[in-house]
Amino acid sequence: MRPYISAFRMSLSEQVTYRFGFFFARLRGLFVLVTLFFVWSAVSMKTGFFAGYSREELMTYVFGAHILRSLVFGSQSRRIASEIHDGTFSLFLVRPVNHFLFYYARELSERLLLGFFAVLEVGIIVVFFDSTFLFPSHLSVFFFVFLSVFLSHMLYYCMSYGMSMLAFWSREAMGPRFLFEWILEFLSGAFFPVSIVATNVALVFLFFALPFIYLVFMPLTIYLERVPGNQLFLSFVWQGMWIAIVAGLLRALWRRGLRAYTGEGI
Amino acid sequence: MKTYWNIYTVFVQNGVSYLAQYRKDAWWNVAVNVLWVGMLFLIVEVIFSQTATIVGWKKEEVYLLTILWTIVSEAFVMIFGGNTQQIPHMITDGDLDIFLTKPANTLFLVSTRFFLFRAFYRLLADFGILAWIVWRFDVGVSLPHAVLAFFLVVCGIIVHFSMTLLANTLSFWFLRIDNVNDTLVSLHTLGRYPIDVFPKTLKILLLTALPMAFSGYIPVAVLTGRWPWYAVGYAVCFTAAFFCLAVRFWSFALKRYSSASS
Repeated sequence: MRPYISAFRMSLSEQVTYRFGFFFARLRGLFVLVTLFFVWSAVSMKTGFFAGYSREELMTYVFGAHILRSLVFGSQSRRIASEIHDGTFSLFLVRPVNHFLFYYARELSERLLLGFFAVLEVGIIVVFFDSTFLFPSHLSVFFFVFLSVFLSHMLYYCMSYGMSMLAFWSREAMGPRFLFEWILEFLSGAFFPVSIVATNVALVFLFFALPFIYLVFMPLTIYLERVPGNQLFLSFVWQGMWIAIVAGLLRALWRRGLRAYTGEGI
Repeated sequence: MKTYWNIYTVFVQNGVSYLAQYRKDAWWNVAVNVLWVGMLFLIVEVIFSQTATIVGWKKEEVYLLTILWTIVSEAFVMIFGGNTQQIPHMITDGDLDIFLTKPANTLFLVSTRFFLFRAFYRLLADFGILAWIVWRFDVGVSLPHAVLAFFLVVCGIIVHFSMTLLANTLSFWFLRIDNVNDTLVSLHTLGRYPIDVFPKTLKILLLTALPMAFSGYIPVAVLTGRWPWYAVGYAVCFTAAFFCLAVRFWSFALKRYSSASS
């Protein structure tokens, strides 16, 4: 366990070493939040409703999405692709550590730090612009939200780790990765509740069958208490199933990838 | 002037040679770009599926705004994108020394040496999409308005360059500010929306200190007649002043450069 705790600590200090850079990174997130806040405020201003969401629910969704983007969408596993390309990945093969868990420790520290700052930023925006942030009516909802967020965090990490492993076979892993991140963020509901576009049965089925909505949309829908009890259980089953599928694929990719790895640059 | 033209021709030729080595990558990039623009349009569709206007802006106007903003971004990436973002690395690694010893303007060399030719293909695709929007929504645009809008698009590119140069020049004082470029990308997205959705203070900021409105809003506002023609005067004067400020700040910072490795 000790190497992973060290990796967690190292990643944490790495994040805060270059404070000016960290400040700019947070500023970037803040710009996205402010933009979405005003755009969705403008569209719901006339009637107080938008696509079945009250103005307060919509604003809470925007704020919640900002926090979840920080807690779920990580960037640490991006390094894996460049390490495979320049050969530094070989160092991990001779160390007595599990590569997946080592990077997970790094990712977790980054997510927790950024998640903390995201909560602060939301607090500032809510106070500064005198907006509303709804809280659930039952305390038990927090437990379900926590569980759902944890599962989405795991699911994203597995998917992201798998994308980086493409570097075993291609030097152009960043292009597909960029596309993957962009599509994923879009379909996960990070910009708006995806139920707005799921206007017919086929689209609803497509959205609910694919793993994307379980990253942002589902935890926030649970938070807003818009998921009935029986569907709540089903959503957890679906999230767990996707984690199992992606983890299985990861195992296969890892084995094949190691065979294809040439240790270029050693 | 002829010397600089010759240098720039070599830079463009290098860009073509680079592209020739990664042809598949270029086509992949065009496909990703079209998909990306498609997703931006999908957001517009989502919003307008529930309402007829946003702060007085109609759907076709927001489409125009989105595509003109994309064109400004793409043109900036093609000419300056791969260069200005490298300034922090060049300063921390000491690579800037090489350019200081060349018998040409350092800023010119630093900001134009990589011509990203694949962005040119993406730009062509974006112009195709613009033509489709004009045809699809039957946007009635007079020739003088179209010429003015094109001129303002050029101003938008210069303002975008100046903003990026100002931010990256900070790396003469602060080490490791790589995130500043990601922040600028996010800030730049503010220009993709009608700035009337923002409160007055932010709106003023977007037209002055953080001039993101130049990337899409101002050309479309002139094109659709929301801004009178004489407002173009403000845009031109601001662009010239902002560009001069960025260049002077660069010169001021360059005098304090002490080299890092060589």
